[in-house]
Amino acid sequence: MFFLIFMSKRFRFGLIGLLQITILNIFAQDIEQKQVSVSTEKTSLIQFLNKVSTENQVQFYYKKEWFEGDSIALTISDIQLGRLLDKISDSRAIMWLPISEDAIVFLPKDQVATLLGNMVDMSGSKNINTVEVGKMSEAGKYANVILKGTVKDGKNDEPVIGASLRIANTNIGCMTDANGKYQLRLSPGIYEVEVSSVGYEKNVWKVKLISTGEFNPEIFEKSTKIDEITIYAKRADKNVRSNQMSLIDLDSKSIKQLPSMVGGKDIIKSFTMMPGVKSVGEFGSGINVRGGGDDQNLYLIEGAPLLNTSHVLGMMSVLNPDIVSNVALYKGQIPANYGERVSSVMEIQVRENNIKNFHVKGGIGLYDGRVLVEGPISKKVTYKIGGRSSYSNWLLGVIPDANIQKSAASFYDLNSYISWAGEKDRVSLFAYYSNDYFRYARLQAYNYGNILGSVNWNHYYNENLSSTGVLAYSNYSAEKDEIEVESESSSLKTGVQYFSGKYNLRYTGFSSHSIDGGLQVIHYNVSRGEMSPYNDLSIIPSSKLEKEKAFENAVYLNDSWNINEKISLNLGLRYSAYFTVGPKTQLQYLSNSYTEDAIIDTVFIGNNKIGKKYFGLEPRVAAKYQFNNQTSVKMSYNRNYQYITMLSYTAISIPSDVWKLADDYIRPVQSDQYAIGFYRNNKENTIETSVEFYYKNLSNVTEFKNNAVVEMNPYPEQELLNAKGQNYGIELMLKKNKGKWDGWISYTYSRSLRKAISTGSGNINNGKEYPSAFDKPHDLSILANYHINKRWRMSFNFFYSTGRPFTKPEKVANIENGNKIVLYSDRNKYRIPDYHRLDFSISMDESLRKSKKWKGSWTFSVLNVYANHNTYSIFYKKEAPSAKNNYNQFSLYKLYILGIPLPTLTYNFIF
Amino acid sequence: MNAIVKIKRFVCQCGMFFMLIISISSCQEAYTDDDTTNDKKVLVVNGEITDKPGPYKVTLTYASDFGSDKVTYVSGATVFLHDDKGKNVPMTEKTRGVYSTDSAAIQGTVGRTYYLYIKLLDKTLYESKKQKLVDRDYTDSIYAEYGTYDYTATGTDGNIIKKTLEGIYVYVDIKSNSPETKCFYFSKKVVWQYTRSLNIPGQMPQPMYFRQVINADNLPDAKATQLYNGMQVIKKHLLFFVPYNVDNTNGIDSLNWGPYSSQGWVSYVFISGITKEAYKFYNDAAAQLSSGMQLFDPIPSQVNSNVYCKSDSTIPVLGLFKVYTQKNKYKAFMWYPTLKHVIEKDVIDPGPLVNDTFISRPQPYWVFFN
Repeated sequence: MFFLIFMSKRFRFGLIGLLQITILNIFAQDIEQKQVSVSTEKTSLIQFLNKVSTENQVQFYYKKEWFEGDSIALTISDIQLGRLLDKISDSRAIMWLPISEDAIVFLPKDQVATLLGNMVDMSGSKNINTVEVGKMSEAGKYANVILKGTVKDGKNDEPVIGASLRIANTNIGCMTDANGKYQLRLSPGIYEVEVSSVGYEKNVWKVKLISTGEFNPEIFEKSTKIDEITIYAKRADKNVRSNQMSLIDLDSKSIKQLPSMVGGKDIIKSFTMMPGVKSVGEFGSGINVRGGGDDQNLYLIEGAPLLNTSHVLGMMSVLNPDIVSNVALYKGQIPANYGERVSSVMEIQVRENNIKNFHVKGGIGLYDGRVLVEGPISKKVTYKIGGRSSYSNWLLGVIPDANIQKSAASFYDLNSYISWAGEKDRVSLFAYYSNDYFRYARLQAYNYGNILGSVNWNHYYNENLSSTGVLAYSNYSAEKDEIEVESESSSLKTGVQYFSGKYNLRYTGFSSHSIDGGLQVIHYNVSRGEMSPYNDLSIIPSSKLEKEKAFENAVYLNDSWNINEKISLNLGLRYSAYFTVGPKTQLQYLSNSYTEDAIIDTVFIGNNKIGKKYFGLEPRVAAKYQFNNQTSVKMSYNRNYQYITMLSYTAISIPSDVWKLADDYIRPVQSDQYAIGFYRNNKENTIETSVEFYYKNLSNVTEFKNNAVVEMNPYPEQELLNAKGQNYGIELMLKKNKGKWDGWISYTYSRSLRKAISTGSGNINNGKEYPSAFDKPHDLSILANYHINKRWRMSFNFFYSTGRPFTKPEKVANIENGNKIVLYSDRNKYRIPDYHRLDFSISMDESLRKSKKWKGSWTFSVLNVYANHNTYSIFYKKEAPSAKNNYNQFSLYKLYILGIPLPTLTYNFIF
Repeated sequence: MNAIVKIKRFVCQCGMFFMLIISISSCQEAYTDDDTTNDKKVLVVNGEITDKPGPYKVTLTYASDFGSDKVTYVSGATVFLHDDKGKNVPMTEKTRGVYSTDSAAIQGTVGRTYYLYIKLLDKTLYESKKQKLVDRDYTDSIYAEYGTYDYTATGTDGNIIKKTLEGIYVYVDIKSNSPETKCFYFSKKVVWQYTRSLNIPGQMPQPMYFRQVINADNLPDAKATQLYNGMQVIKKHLLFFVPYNVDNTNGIDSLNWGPYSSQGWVSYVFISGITKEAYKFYNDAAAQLSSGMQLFDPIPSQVNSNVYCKSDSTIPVLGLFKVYTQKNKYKAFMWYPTLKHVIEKDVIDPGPLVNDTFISRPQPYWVFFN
């Protein structure tokens, strides 16, 4: 049974009530085939229908006003009634519907998309495959139904993340989520559904949507056209239409298009070519987002945080590009379901496993090699396991330096991903392990690594309600061995353990709202230092700093509200509660000056007793106004709290950096960010432009006093200063997505300033504002790809940025024994010279023949094509003694990393 | 070793290491700019008081601009040395910028506290922190071990070649029953003594005696004790390395010389018991001076003086007023390739720290090892 309700009074029929759909089908067949004859001069349509009714014993029901003034002239003999009515309705905004053996009802087309066989057809007249979705028994039951499903790669059945679905001739569309799933709310009808994704052929289906149901389209990688390679695998107009701003989104196809760095693709470093994302130095570890430190970025892999992102001190990222399907970097407008950091969230998703076949994928480069195997275990269970290892030790042996030859360097990482998919549930297990070892001569050795694990459980309660539960574990540990002096050799261990449980519910039952809500519990366990003698001959005493423990809990709610086609809001609220847990020994000071002189007492917080508490309300608000399909403006406000910071004594983070939890004296960092952006696409979304302004206000930023020592320091508050910060900037992006030439130009003007709050001694620059180490006002990146043919591609990357700030020696003084000391300038008073570099690469992609089992691709790249000696750091040292310099003079020197064009060659394969 | 020094050195090493992995193309080159802007005068104080008889000196200069050798002495200042017994001893300017006590006016005493008062002509006031003269309650031992030292050099063909030197490493051990950490500063000089035969045609070969002073104070060398088995200990702290064959042919190549013989080294080690403030100063200075290729650009270590400007705390001051006790230790060492061990000899009078060349007979302080 269905109850046909016309939503407007204007179209409410009194004569149509309860109808039986099965009967309808029978009526339809009988009455449509009834042979009728009619002949009339030009007359009104109402009179014509009356005539047909009288002559053929058929009742017609309609509202007179629909046909008033309408006329018709027909002379037809012996025609089926159905065909006659088609002739009448084809040229009019009405449709007809049999409701009994001898009754027909006319209905307006644009208001009624109801009954089977007579649906509103929005598909145009293309002759394409038609798919029927929904249950016949539910036809016409609902005014709005859900079209949902999963977009899959036809080659391997893997979900395609970020694929775009668009309903032709409408403004309706969406993108697939991290699991390749999508959901659209539509009226029943016939639609032309376009499905596309970067690197895939666009495909179109005619979908007859009867009621809520699944449609799982398969798309295939591009194999023929060369003029449609798109850089971003996202909906072409996502930047304009999406409610999200300040987001950089890369999927596996986009990653494939990225230029090569040292050792091949480097996903994390590639983000530095985007507006608002910078790196302190060439090959430095981590990234700086909108003027924040690397520790202010939350790197999440399958929900587990990655606490050190670099192999070999920043030479390459720990992220194996083969396992990644999608990376989203939120620079601002961070959704309320994310917290923990104040600058950005980088969400990294592992590529779904191949559910059809066993595959091996890998690559060989100059410094490392990698391999990945994947395939199905059963119909529901799939696996992926892979690893990467360096073999750079050979290089050390040939370098003509005694110390280097005695050195060692190696790294490896392992990962596995197992997923199980049921009808309504999906569970995945992710595990990751990385290890780095290097030793410099017989002086110092380093061993550090990450262990990550997570369990993700997705459950679909019904078409409107789904949930995601994540249990995550992350462990970063570092060991530094001082081995130069046997009697003082030592081993220092530091680390962080992180446990998290998160549960998220998503409700999409409201037509214009998409609501997320959830809660999260995080437990931190920080080992700030454990020193032990390296061997029996060492007199270094064993010592251990107390571990720091804390809980960070949060509840959140996020509503993505599409008010109408032009206006949408994103309203989020996160409430975080943080408290430290004993045992903990802490000092009490006389005043806010945390110095040795001001100590008045020592207090002890017992085991599992709660110490310091912090609570934070973190509102997240964003709005979008869409002028038209090509243009929109968005704005957002974000407040974030960060309860754990990294105490990095250097501009670029190194493995020995120690994480520190907020406590009585080191307060949580607070960030308030305001942003506004303007987005416009041209030429059918093949040209994207955007401008974003942001202003970020930071509180409780940690800065070091001069000569600060935090290693094995139980009371680091004595070495640190509380600072305020303000970061602001404008980010411009111009991107061409298609054609033989594609690429982008990204330009950012930004400032990142700090001001230490005076605590007496050791204040920085006498309390004046100064640029942070990440302050590089001008930053320009240009990427240009030229697609020579189907497989060959050339890339050019150009980078320019203002030199970063540094502190320069200004004065020099003699001390005893002929030694000199210098007086440095105010902190970060000067800048190193501007940076610019051109890279080139040429790639031969894998064979396009689907039948070929072994497929290989080559990438040859040259970094720093014109051999610019970009300044990495500036330092001073004593000149070689000569009469000219009076045997004792200091001079400034600059260090550069790439002095010559550096070639690299990588071979990737899959079979 | 001080943590900052370690960090700095680590950073430096990582830099070298990293660079050489990715490419041997990386390098350093002189950096010149003309944007340095600091016209302010920065006072440099170098002064001391010990438990040995005075006079004690304080030298006042202004720091020179970076890259310049120009030393500007500060004249006309009013300088006083104070102790915790209320004694105020004026220091008079003996030579330009050098202020001195009268020899009988004051003598440093262990356990007493001293500080300096300075008033410049422009009325700016400076004072040093109050520091206690520490005791001499410790034992020390200086000894040597054979070892090699590897380094690389550029060969005549321009290629980098590896070289190894044989020689001796000289160490110091210190022990004290004190319950508290003790801080020391080591200043050291080495005299390399050797003989060579001068072959003059028609004459008997004439042995000549040489002594050459080597400054081993490349970096300020301060060290604090560790608690070990109930004692405050410094164990096997490296003082310096001296190679067996010193390639020293300056100025005498044209003569017909025989081989080196009777080679030995006489070490002059001045062990100063210093305050914690001075220890920090020396470590900060060492961290500065050892900073090299700083790949990760650590925050510069500003060397904090124990003298501060009383008139305006934002005005920086450089230098150190050093309050210390000192022991002078002299020891001679010898080793040669066929010798199984290092020969050590205590020396009472090592002679002056001057170079002696072309001496035809051994000086009274010449150390004989056999």
